[in-house]
Amino acid sequence: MTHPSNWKIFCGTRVPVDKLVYLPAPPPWRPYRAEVEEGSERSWPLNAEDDERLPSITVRRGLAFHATSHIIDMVNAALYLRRPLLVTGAPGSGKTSLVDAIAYELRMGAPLRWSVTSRSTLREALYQYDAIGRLQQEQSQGSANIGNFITLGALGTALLPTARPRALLIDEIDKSDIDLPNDLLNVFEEGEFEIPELRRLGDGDPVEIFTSDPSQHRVCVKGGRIAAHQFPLMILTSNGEREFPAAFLRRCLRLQMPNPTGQAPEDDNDNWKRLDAIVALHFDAEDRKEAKHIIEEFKQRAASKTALATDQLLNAIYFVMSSKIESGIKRDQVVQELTRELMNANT
Amino acid sequence: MDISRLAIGLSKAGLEPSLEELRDIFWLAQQITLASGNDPARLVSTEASAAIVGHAAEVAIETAHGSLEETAERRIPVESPQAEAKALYGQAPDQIGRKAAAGLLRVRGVRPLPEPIAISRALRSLSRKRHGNAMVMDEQTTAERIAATGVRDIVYRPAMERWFDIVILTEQVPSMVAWRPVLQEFERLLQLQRGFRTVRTLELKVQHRTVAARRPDGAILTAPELADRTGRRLLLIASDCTSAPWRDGRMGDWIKSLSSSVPVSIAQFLPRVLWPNTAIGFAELHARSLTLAAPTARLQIRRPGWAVGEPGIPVPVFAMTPKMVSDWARMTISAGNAWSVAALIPFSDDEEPARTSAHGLSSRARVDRFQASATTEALELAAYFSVVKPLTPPVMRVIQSAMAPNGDAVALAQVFLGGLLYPVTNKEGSGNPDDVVYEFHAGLREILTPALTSRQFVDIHLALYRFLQELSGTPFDFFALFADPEGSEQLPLEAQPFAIFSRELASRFGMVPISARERQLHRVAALAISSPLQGRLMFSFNSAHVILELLPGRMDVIQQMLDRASRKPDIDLTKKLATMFAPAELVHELRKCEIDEFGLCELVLEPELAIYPWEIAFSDDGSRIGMFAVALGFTRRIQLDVPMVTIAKQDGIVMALEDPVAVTGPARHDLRDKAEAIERILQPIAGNVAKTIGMDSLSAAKWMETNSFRFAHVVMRDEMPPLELRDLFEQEQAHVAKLFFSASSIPEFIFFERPIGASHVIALLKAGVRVIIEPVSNVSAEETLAFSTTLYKRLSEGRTLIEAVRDARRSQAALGSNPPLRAFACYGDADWSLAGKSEVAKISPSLPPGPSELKQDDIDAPPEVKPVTAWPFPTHMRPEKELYRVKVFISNADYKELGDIIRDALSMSKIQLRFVKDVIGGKKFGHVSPVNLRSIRHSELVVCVVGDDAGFVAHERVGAFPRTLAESVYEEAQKQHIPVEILVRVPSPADFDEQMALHRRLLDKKYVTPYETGDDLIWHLRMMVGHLLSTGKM
Repeated sequence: MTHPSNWKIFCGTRVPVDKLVYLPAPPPWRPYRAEVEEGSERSWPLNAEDDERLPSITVRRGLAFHATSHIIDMVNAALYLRRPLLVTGAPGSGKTSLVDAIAYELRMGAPLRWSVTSRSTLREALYQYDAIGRLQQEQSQGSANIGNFITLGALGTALLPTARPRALLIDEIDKSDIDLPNDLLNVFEEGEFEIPELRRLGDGDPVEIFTSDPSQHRVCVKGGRIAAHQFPLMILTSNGEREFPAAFLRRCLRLQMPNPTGQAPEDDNDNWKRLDAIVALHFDAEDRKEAKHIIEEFKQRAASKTALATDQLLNAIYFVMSSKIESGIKRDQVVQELTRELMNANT
Repeated sequence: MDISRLAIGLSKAGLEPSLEELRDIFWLAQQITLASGNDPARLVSTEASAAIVGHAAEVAIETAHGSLEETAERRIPVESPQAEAKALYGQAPDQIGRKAAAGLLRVRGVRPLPEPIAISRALRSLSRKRHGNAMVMDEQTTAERIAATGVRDIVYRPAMERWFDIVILTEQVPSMVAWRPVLQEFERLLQLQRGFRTVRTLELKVQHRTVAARRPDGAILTAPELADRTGRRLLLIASDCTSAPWRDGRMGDWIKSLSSSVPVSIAQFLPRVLWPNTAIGFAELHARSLTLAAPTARLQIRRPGWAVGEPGIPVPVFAMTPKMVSDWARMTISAGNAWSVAALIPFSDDEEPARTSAHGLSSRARVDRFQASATTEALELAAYFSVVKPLTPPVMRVIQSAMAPNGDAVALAQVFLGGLLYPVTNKEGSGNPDDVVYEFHAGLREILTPALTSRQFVDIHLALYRFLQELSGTPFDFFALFADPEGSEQLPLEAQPFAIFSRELASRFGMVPISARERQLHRVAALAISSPLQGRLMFSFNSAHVILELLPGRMDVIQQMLDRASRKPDIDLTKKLATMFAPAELVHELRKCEIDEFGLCELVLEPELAIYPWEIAFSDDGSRIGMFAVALGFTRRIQLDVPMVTIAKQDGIVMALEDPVAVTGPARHDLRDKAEAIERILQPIAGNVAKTIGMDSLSAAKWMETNSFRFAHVVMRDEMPPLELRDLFEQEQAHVAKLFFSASSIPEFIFFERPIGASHVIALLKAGVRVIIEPVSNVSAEETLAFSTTLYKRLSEGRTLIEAVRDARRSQAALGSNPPLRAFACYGDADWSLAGKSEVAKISPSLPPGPSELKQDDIDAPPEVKPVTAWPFPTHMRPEKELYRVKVFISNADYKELGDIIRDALSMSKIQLRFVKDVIGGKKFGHVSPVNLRSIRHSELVVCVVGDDAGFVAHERVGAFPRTLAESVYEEAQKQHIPVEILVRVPSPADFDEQMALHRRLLDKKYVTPYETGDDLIWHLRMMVGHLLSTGKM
């Protein structure tokens, strides 16, 4: 097996490449659980045209995400070790965009998303079974194929066998019910689950069910068991509102997102080089020149430990650039509103 | 490869990887090595807190030994696994639950509720589930049943739900203004917990004879309505337990009415130390629940002797700390033998406790009473509030966050509870508690206000100003708050009420600007502080931006501050910088009211003004605004109230200091000539003048320890040093400034012939020097002589300082120099003159032997330097005791070298030094162990000096996380209440990155004093011990 001189698969270059083929086989304790059946492989972007066809939000974030070497290292470690990556960080530091950046660069296809709320359950993320719908159809039409009433959720879809791992975002996991992280543990470890409704049918003919992946609407499942070939790349984000059980944390790699508006050493932001780079990814030189004083003022406020998020700056610049509002008190006021401090806003 | 040894090494380094983690680490390291072949340690360097450098090396050696024979391909980089483990997992998983939580959260600003996550964890035991009353359709069973029987029937099952409902009861009392953020945070925390079925907040309404709970819509809930027979409701009274119903028994009655049907507990906002001031007293009772959430009346109670048979109802109570919350939660679910603290709440049929009514109290008595019980923070806060009127809760919060940014709700609440304030009106009768205006009781403001300095007065109003501007949305002039010649309409409506009172007070704080300067001061006040960018200082100046460029060269001190500010954003530092420089426009303004032809404005320490231009010089080439302010352009009056040492009474000295590098050549003769010339002109005013020639600053400092003078004139070489020696000169200059601190008493008047830097000037002024003359940049010998001749002549004629300086500048100008840059700056009281002090000079008894002998001696020979065994501090600091024990922790592989320096600095008969060493890498020294750390209780002072290495405690894990020596020592000393000084060397750029990171972590700590060189260290140590001796702390 040939290796590139650099061990890193994900490089944060924002240019789609097929580097995933260099990903070595998983560690022996996280083996492939299933093989990809012939004809059941999903499709992923193969060329520049396909890249453009990804959801626009993925393309946009993929082209504008700025990765530091720390982020790159942790993402690669997660890819190599097939472990979920738990991302924490300040609001606006790019936790949610990370998955798009990786999926775009590594041509993993559109990332799957699961936005966790306090009512989210593991089952809903694995699959949904519309028993009532099936009953209705059976009552009215006499027969109903069970496969038409089962839809895999984001996590369930991510575990479908595929040679190229899917990317899955589990957003704001700290908002979840207190038990959810524990429920997830088993899936993280085993990479497989069963659908009892299908299991009941026995090992006979495969059943075609729905998935959450737009590039592969339906998939055949045999015996109600779904097991991963490649573990999906799972990015979990947390706003740090709650802590997690130790067992859960142990199974995740952890990444504290560097804060583009922070100046701590771990933010890797000496002289605002990262903030500048991010602004440069969103606006061309001319715009940046015009918005120079907004940027400088923003930096000063951020430096004085005001809680600010990068989006605020981007919004302010975008507003000034697009609205063509005359500079002056009025504009300054709007800019000030746009960059209002996040915390203690009404003290 | 001996894995067990690696595991031991890792655990020594504070990492305890599980088997799975070790497995992952090894596998990944191998993959990386295979893939890249060259630099496997890339992943390591990314982790900022590479706190384990020393050990990495140690472990590497050990393990490398074991694996030498292995094939190259199997060689796993030993350094990476541990750092990697850190990078991957943050910390050892076992510690995740405890230590790492704080690291996860990165919240700016003060949290109203400290340790919210820990409290939330403490509450976790309450989040149990059970089948609820609600029924949900069981889709699956329904479908199955229909499929099986064909009967269309729906099957229901009870939904799972959380066990407990929580009802928070709050009181409508004035101090709720302070507690509201805490309460909201607590509520939010309970909601977020998702461990409760519902979380509701009700208000307790105090009626004539009773208390009742009120829903948000105003409906009264009776006790039976609140009760819950299913045992699922927890009532929490969130209060500070200070209002009348708590004391007169109405609250007790109300709780009693509920106590048989529902568990009631008190969530006390105040920390436990303040409980004795409230109705719950010392809360010495304990309660235990024998069944799940037993109603209050059925709790098992343990009473202290005094409370046996005492009427009243025992109610569990907890403060908002994880420990107490956890105790309470465990008690509630009757876990094991869990006892919770409880308090006895009296009934109303109790004998009415004799309460003195606060109504008839004199204002003095009120303040006394407040001072007796309040914490320092609360006292300060009350003083801050005393200069603001009208006082509403938002204004109070603004002022608190500006003046005491780390202050918590407790301080604010104490102001309310202290009986100082009373509510005046409720604007438009709205129910919003934020609209209530509070006023101090009559006469209280007058008592509280004098505690404030003018600086604080200005700071409070700057905060208020910012708030008002945001509130009104219209920019207005800061000074309009104090004086408004153009009428009130300039002020937005919101600001007008404040201005009325502020103007009343302004004159008391010297805030009324004198006519000529009025306009300039207007502008200065609009100066907004902003951060330095690439060696520039930027000002927002009446909304326009003025960029002030620093001239290269001269401003090294400032440059250093800038560098520091840009490395580590620090609002204080930035503020300091901003106040140090006056914007160019201001300089123009000042030019209009030109005082003399030099373009120097000598507005020196004018007592009437709190904000004033101090001394400003500027170039005048007209084409560009390349101006700069010298030293403190604009500042507030510095606090000169605590001079460190006494001022010497008589005599003068001319010190001709030798440059550290140029010891040969003609320099000496120059110096001697200069010194003699100065001696001649100084004689008329100083009487006896001693001379020292050719000393370097350190030996001069030692000599000064035993000699003192009223006048000091420091002669130095005038040519600029070659560029490559600049650094050395800068250091030397810093030492020259510090030189006077080692004197047994401080001179009244110091003339420096070479710039020493503004920060040193301030330090000297604070130490008690009355006048300092210092050039803006290097001035030629000729001009210096001209200037000083005239200056001393005029002073001896009895002129005031400012007159003498003006004349001296004229004579300097006659030589045709470039005035702005070659000017002498003058610091001190403008009206200072020799005359006022002449009597003092006359009573000079006899000369101290040292300098007078020197005068006759061969001046080329350096004076005899006394050995440092003498007491190195002024005589009045002589210690009372026979022996002082100072424990010195040194972290350095070069332990001996540092040890010598410290011994040299502190060696004196009265101080016994005990050295404790730290070890790095298993060297043969002793080591810092918990035993050693604890042994500091026998000392009067603990000093920890951290040298080149960052002081990493080798084998010790203090607590769960590897700590540096300095941190361990500091914590231990704090615990034992022993004064502690931590000195950490500032790393040079040549140091390793890892070391820099660790150093930075240390230097970021507030309690750390940085030092750069050995001399620096000596100076710090002496100052420190001297300070402790003089303040009697030792």
